[in-house]
Amino acid sequence: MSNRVPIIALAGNPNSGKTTVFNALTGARQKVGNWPGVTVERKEGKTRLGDGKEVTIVDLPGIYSLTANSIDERIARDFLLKERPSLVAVVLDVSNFERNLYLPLQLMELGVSRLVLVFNMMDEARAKGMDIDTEGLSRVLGVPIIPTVATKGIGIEKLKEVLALELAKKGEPSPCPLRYGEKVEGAIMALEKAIKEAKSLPQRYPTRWLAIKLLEGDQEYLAHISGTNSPGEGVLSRLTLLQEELEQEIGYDLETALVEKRFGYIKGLMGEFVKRRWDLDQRLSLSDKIDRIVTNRFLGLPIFLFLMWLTFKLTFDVGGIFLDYIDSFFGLLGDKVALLIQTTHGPAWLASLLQDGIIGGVGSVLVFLPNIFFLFLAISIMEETGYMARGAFVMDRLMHAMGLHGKSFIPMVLGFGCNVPAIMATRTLENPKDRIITILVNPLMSCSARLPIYVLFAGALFSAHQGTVIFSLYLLGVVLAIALARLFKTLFFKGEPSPLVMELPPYRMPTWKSVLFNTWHRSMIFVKKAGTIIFGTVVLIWFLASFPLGVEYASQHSIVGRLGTLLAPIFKPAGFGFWQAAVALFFGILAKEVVVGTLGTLYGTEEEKLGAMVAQHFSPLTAYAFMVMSLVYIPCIATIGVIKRETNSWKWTGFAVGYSLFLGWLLAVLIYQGGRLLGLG
Amino acid sequence: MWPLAMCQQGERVVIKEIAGGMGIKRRLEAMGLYPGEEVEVVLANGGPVILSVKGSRVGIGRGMAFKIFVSNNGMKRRKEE
Repeated sequence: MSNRVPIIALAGNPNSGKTTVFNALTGARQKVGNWPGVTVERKEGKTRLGDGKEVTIVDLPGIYSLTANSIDERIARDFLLKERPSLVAVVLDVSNFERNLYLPLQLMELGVSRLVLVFNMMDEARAKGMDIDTEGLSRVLGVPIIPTVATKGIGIEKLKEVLALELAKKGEPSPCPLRYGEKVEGAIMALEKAIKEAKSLPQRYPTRWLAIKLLEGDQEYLAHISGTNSPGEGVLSRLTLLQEELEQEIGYDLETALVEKRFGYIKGLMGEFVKRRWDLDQRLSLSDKIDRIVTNRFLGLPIFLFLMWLTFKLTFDVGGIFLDYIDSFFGLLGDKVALLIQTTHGPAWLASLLQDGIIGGVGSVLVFLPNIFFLFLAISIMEETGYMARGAFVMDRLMHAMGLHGKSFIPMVLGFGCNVPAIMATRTLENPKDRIITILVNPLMSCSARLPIYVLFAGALFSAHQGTVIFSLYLLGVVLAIALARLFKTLFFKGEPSPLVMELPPYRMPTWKSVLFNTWHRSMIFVKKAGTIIFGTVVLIWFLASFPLGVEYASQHSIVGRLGTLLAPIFKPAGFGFWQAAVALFFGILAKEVVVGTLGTLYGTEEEKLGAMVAQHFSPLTAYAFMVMSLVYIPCIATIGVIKRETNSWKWTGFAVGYSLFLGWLLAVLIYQGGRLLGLG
Repeated sequence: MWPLAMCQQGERVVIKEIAGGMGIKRRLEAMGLYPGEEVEVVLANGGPVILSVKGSRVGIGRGMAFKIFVSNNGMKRRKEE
């Protein structure tokens, strides 16, 4: 224990600036967004405190309380209960004091850690005319309070000092100063006694916390005490009695009474320690005025669609400008490398591996980096300004009509970038049914990895209508997602979607620094993928295409050629029943951009000439069928992995893989056969 | 008592009842929305309703706005004690 690096947990409401504090403390640059639940991943970083001691800081998900009805809240609570970090730093947006103080009160009630309160956004509080007596407040609450403006790094050094000081104290968990009044306290005590007497009850929760949650009638805790062989029967009977008694006395439900008490206590603190020089709440803020327009019943959707259109314009038109440069760069690089090996009398196989395999394969994927960069740029800007959260509301009705939830919109949009973070973003959905449907249909959103395939094929065979063809594929994905969401909903998940309630953070001017950082960070994931999975795959394919020894490179007699020949008949009804296509699709399971890389390797050419090669092998009809297949069939390995992790079920993972494989094949066949009937073949 | 969805923009109302499961009730509570709390309707134009709750803005989907019942009598419910 003493040798272990101490853990400090970082907690706070969504939009409280918690992630910014985390970055300022650890120096780890991560993304800061504006929609709730942005820190869904468990992030941790190391930092040296004031005394030079090293600690691990764990960034908990942004939460409002500890009721465990959303995954985020459960993650946070269970972490605190299990790991029992000696110190929890709670970040509060003090300009929003009243609501933000609820969480630390809950943490004190849970009673497992010492707290340090970080009063963030002091500048905004001051601008709102608030004067906060942090010293007085700190005395009453019995915990240190450090004022900060994390975006400007103000107060962070002081925070490090105080954390070191508190850590060195190794004291008891911070006690909760809140008391519920004689009657309720009496009931809590009686219940605590009953809990302690129920010896066989697993000791998962602190007794006072358990007693309070039971009085509130929280299902999870009720299930805990009435589990197998009902070890907590004595507690249960006691509870029913106490609840009835209290509710009769209070006149309404106990749960509301307890919540009122907590907020009442906070109001009391506000009255005593927060002076408001003027009341700004009365005035309509600029943020509200913008909301009147962007969430307007008639204007909301057109504005949303316009922004989406702008996003795609930026991605393809602006991104496309850079595409040609990178393209010719790799072409040139390949030629130069091959020439160099030739002139130095290096082995021919090495020239082939470098030019055909690595530079051809990886290069054909990396040319799409500009597109991906601009897509992530647009998404980051929408997140940072706060528009994303509004988008959820604008889309709520439409999403409901699809059988999805307004919040499903965020993962769906992110799916255009990459399905992996998109599926992780479904954690903000509280209802598991909504989550699973959103996860299942998410891979149908054309992620940036599929774009290279579209660009290649549409460019080669539909050069006059390239944009329209690509757009139609994006649209097809969306339409399929809607249709399947509806279908899955009626098949597996009857009942209403859960209601949409979300905090709308004030609009903020995004800082270029953080927007660019987010974009860069996310684009780098793509580059990393190009450097690892894609690199590995293309090298593997090169080997498979060059062996057995003596075969002509990437001919049908090579290993890869034989594998493709084996698979090709399956795709015959879809019109692309030749082995190169089969091999490309097979390896595309690793990552969809590999389809392009594989074709590049198999045809032994880089991006520049690949289009011409593709045009020789495909007709417009078969190319379209192939693109539809690439859109729908099997999510890539990384996505399959994240589906398994997020649904925690092999059944759903298998279902996602199975349905997409079949649907992709079916659609490709339908398109090809239908097209032929219409005489398009 | 009427649903929140019927409120006028700019109105100050008191939450009376929330129809819905325990899950959503608890979530609303933690955001400061519970029976007895006074809120301001910042935006109501037929789409989502945006409320000012304890100084922050909370958006409520149209569907949910029909399940939160409010009144404007300004009388808070009897408090404990």
